Amino acid sequence: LSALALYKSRKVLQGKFTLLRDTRTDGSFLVHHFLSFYLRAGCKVCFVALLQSFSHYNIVAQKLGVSLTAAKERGQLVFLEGLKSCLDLLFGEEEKQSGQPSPLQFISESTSNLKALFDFVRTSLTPAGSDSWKGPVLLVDDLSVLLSLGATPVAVLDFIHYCRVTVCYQLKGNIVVLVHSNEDSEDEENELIVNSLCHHSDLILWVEGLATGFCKDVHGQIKIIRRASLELTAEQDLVQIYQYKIQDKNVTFFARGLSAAVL
Amino acid sequence: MAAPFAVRRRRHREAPPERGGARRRTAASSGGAGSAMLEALVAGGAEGLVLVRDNAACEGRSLLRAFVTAAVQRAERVLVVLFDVPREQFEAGLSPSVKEQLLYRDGFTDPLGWSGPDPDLRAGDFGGLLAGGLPSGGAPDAGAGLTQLAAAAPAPPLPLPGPGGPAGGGPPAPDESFTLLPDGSLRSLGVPTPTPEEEDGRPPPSVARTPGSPRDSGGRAPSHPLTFRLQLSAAERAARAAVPPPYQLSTPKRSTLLRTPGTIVCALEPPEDEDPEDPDDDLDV
Repeated sequence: LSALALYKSRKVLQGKFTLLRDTRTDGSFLVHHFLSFYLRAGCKVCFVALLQSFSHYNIVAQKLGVSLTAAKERGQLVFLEGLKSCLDLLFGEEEKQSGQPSPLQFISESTSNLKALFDFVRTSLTPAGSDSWKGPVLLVDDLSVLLSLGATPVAVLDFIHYCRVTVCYQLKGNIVVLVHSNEDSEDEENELIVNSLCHHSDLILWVEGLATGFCKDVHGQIKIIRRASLELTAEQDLVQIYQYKIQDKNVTFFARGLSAAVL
Repeated sequence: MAAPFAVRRRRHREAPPERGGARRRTAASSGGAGSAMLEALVAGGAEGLVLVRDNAACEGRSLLRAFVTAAVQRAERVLVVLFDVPREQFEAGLSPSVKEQLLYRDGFTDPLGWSGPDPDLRAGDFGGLLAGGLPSGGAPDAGAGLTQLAAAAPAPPLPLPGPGGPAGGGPPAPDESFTLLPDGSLRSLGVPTPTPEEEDGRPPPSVARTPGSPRDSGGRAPSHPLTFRLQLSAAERAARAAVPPPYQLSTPKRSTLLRTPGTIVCALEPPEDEDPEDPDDDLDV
C-alpha cells in the first residue's frame, strides 16, 4: 500500500481523517496495515478494537514486523479491547477497579452518549510531559459495532465529532476509522453514519468485493478518494481505482484487469 | 483553476415567524426560470431561508463562502455559526478584508459541553440564537450551520410545495452551473441545456396554478420531465383526423388491387455446403 505513493508525505500530513469503508468484503487488512504503519512511524496510537481480540491483532502485526505487546509495554500503544471490556462490564465482579468508569459504559448504563469513550481516547492521546512520540493517532475497528451495541447514530456521530475536534484539530493527529457499508443495505442508521463520515473525511479507502463474485487471484477492488474539494482550491475529488490480492505478509495492488494471473 | 459545479437549488420561502422585534422579511417576486438566478441570489436577492444542500462528491461550502463574500461586499453584517469545521477551515479562501468583517459563533469545538464548563455555543442554543440572539441591524446570513444540518441528513428529496405550502410555487428552477473565482465570488455559467418545458408546442403553465397541484398539464410530476411531448395541439389533431386510415380503400384503389393478379415470387437459397464430417463421429455407440 505504501508503494502506491499515497503516503509519500504522510508524515507531514497531520490532522487528517481517513475513512476505511468496506462493502461485500472484509477491509480489516487496511486496519492491520495502518496499525503497523503508525507504530513503525513512531506515533502514539490509541486503538479502539471492538471486533477482534488483542492476540488476533498481535499475530497479524507480527507478520508485518511489529510487536503489539512491546508497543504496549513502552507506552506507544493504548489498546482498548472491546471484547474483554464488554464482558467485564456486563459480567464483572462487584469490586470497583480503580474507580474509573469503563469506556464502554454506555452499554449498561442509562447514559446514551459515548462521552466515556471519548474521555478514554482523550486521556490516552493527550501527550504527557515525558512522551516523545510523534503525532497521536486514533484507530477504530470498527464503528458499525457501536451501533450494534446499542448506541444511537447521533451518539456515534457526536463521539466522532469530538474525536475530530480533539485529535485532528487540537492535537494535530490523525484518525482512521473502519465502517461497513452496503449500498443496498436496509440498515439506515449505518448508512447515515457512513454518509456523514464521508463528508468529513480527507481520504476515503473504499474496499469492495468484486461484483462478479469470489475470485482466487483478485480479492477485491479498492477505490481511493482524495477529497481535494475540502481544501482551499475547490478541486474535484481525485478517485483512483485498483484491484488487490491479499497475501500472507502483504497486499499487492494492480490496475484493474491487470492481475498477475491474467498477464 | 476552479472546476465548474452544477447544483440543484430549492428555494424555501417561509412565512416569517411571529416573534417580537423580528426581522421583517418581504416576499420577493418569483425569480422565474432566468439563467442568472443563482447570481441574483448571491447578490442579495435571497429572502428568507436559503438551503444549500451538497453531497459527499461535491461540497457546498464554497458556495456558502460566495454568499458570505457577496454579503460582506454589500456591507451587511454576517454571522457565521460553525458546527462542522473550525474557523480556520471555513476562512480558507476568503480574502482578508472579508475575514475581518465576519462575526463567529463557535458550535464546533464543544457543542455538548463535554470538554469544559463554558463552550461558546451549545447545540441546543442554536434555536435561541436564531430567535433573538442575532445582532440587530441588517439581515444576517445564517452561516455554516445550516449547510451541515442539511448535509448530515440522509437525503430524501425536498418535497415540492404541497397544499398549504408556500404560495406562488412555480416550476422548480433548472440546474445552473457556476464557477468560483479565486477571490471567493461566484460567476454563473447559466443553464446548461434548455429544459423540456421550454420547447414550443406546449401550452405555458397557467399562472393561476394552485399550490396543491404542481403538475404540468400532462399529469406528470415535474420531477421527471420527458424529452418528448405527449399532447397534441389543435392543429395536429386536425391534421391527424384528415389522414385516411390505410384500411379504408377508395374505389379506384380497390379496383386496381382486385385487377392485378397476385403473384408469389419465391427465390430459393442455394443449398448450403454440408460439412462432410459426421458430427456424431466421436460417439461410441
